[in-house]
Amino acid sequence: MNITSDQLFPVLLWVPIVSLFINFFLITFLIVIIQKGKLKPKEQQEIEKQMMETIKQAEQRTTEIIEDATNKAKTIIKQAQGTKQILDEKIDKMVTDTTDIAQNELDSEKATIVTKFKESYSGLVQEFEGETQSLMAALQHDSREIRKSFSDSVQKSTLDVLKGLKDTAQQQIIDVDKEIKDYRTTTFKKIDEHANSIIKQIVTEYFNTELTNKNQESILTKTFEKFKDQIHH
Amino acid sequence: MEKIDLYAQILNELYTTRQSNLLIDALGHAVDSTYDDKKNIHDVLQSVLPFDQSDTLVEIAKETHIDLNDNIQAQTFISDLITILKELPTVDLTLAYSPTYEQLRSYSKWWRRNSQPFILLNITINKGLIAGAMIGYDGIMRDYSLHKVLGTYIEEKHEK
Repeated sequence: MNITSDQLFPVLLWVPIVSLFINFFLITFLIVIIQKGKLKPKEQQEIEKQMMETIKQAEQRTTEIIEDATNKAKTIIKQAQGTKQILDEKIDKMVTDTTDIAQNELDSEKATIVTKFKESYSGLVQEFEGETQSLMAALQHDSREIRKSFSDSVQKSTLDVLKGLKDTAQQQIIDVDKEIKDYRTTTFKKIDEHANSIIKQIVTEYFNTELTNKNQESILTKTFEKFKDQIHH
Repeated sequence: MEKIDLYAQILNELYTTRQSNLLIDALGHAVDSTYDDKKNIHDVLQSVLPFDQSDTLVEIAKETHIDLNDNIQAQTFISDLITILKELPTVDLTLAYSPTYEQLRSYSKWWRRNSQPFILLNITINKGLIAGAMIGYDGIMRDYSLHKVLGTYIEEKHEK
């Protein structure tokens, strides 16, 4: 299992503190024990002396251990810090390198892409320009053709319409003229018929009242003579 | 002498087709009566014809030695007259007035003098003619009416 310096550092800080608490409880325990055995014999004092000596040694040893531990911790921390720094540097370098490489690669790739894009774009542009020119030319040609066709069509339609209008107008004039003539003829005919009718009525009435049988006989005899002359000729 | 001349006295007094048709109808009855022995032809003729015509017929029969009491001779005599009457020439006259009998006689004489001896006048009256007449004879038709003259005059005036 790997332990990083960041994980080890807070553990080492707690080691001296915990050691102090342990020593305190140990001393307190011994004092209580001593107070309880004040009036003990000499051997006991000797024992107590040895105990005190032991405690002192323990205390010294503890201090040493703590110092060693602290030193070790410091060393470890120091090493860890160094390692961290190295790692950081390595990482930074690696990141920088990677970034640079990536950037370089990216730049290179980008440049390649750009180049390719440029080339493609240029090709496309050229192609497009070529096609555009062709299209434009075709479009212009088509446009001219369409315009010409449209113009011809419009001209023809216009001429047809004008001709139609002219024909219609002429036909209408002819029709109107005919209608006027017919109307005039009919009207005159009616007027004539009416006038003739009136004249004949008046003349008939006049002759019927004025012509006697004798006059009629005389006219009739002349009529017979006229008929005879025509037959013989 | 032609057969028609035998009946000249009768035909001379006939001026119009109307008179001729009346005479033909009457003579037809007379012919029918010759088949009836109970009837006397003289009486029949007097009953169906004016007295002058019946007298004239009897006189003509005497002159030509025809016995009217003989039914067969009477039939032949009358039938021949009917045939002649039906074959007489005619002139169509459309007049503007109704002429008198004397005028008809006058017109008939004119036509018999200027065309054929026993021609008959086929008279029609149309007062619209005003005066003059429309004449049809021998396939020829002419309008000599004042109506026609007036119409022509009006038309000519209108054309001018």
